[in-house]
Amino acid sequence: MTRSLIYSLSFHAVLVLLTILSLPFMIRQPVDLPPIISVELIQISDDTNIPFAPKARKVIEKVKEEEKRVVSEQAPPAAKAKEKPDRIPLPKEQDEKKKLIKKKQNPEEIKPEIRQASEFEKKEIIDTNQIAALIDKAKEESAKVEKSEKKLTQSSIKNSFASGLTLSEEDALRAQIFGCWTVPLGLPYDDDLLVRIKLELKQDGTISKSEILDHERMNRPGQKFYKILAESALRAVRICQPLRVPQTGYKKWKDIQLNFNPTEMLKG
Amino acid sequence: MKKIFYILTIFLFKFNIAYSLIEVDITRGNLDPLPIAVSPLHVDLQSDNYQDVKIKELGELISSVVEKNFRSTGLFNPLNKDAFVQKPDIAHLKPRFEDWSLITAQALVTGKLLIKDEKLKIEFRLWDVAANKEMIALAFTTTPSNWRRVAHIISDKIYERLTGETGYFDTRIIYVSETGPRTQRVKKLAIMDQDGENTKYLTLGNELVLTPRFNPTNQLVTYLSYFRNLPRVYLLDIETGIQEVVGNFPGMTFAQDFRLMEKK
Repeated sequence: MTRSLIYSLSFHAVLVLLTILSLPFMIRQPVDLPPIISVELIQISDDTNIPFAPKARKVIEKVKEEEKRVVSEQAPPAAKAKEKPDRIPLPKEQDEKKKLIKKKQNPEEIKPEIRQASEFEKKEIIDTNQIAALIDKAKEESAKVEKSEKKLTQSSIKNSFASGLTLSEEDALRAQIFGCWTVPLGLPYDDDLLVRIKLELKQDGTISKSEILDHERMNRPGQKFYKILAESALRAVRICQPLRVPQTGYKKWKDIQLNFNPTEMLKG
Repeated sequence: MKKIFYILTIFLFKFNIAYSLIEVDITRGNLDPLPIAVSPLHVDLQSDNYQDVKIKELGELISSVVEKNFRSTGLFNPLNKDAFVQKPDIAHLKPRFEDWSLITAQALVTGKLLIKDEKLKIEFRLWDVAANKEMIALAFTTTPSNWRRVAHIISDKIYERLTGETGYFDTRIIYVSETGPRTQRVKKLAIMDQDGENTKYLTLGNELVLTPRFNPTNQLVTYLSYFRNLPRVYLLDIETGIQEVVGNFPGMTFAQDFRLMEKK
């Protein structure tokens, strides 16, 4: 009796085991869930943008002042330099000139060197007007180059640190408006056609208030093209609603100014 | 007391955070033609019938002329009329701007016409769909047969308002039309609108006509024609059809033209 019971039990057990193994739904594996990647949304504009540090501003102002100084120093007497066209500066003189550039403010310091020269040479060298003119010319050229270079960097610095948006956020907004703005063709491109629109935005990017900053110019006679451009810009902003603004930092971009300038595009 | 002072100073600093105004420079835009919806003109039910002008179709015809003019410029993209939701009569009073902006229209033209006492009165309005406002509204009165000219003038006004440049649609072209086989060419003096419609023949084609020229200030045309194999210069008034001979010029080979005389 007991033996048969054991047989039966073991047989049944084997059967149950086979059933479990063979039926697919019994061995269903748990869904393989990928691990959750946590993403933290942070405001990076504070870290990526050059801060409103007074230091940075000081540096820029300093550069600006220097630029002004260099420009104002430019002396016009180029005609004087032409008085002795046969005179070619020797390499030694050129060296001197380089030194002179550095110490231009007080030319007295170079006197000892001149004293060593012969009486004839002295006459020529002491013709400071000519040298000054040459130096100024050289300076003028270098200043021009410097000026154009600095302008570039300055504007880029200004862009990134004057705005509370990161570059990518700004680009997103810009790209959106590029798509909406149908530029009225046939505008005269030599005119100053900068339209500045100040917007007050809601949290979702829709516009609660829009204002053209030079709106009185629109109704002035002879400003027909400006009016048309301003209208097209305003239309673009309205069509683009809601604007692609960042999720955070509402206070920063609540008020925003858009400068529409088609000159670059019209010139091609 | 000190504590309150500290708290106050902290608050003062906290609320003092001021953000500078964000400036974004937009230096590019798209060069796509401006989507414009030209709604058919609403025909007033009180209109009389006038000769062979089909009054019921006139609204559609005028709007299609305006549409064709805009399409030819390449600066505008007139939208398909099938997409229009609002009826012309209601749209002319006050358009539902939401409906028009749904079909991506940025500008909308609506109008109304009425023929009364043998006079055709056409009024139209141009709407800025994005700004929800009217941009220009004008009315013209003319003889009903002159409707095509009015359609061109309307096109001019809208074009000027949207681009800043004066329109050129109200222009006529004078030319010499040639028909018939090569050996027996018939040359007639003809005039047409700038869109190629409304052709009128000014001469019968019996004589050879050459070099028609418009007077830049009025509706006079001068042309050279051979009368009994002698070249003659004619002056023709398009409005009245009166033709006069300026003179016989035997052996004339050059083209006559109008010149503005300087006052001395």
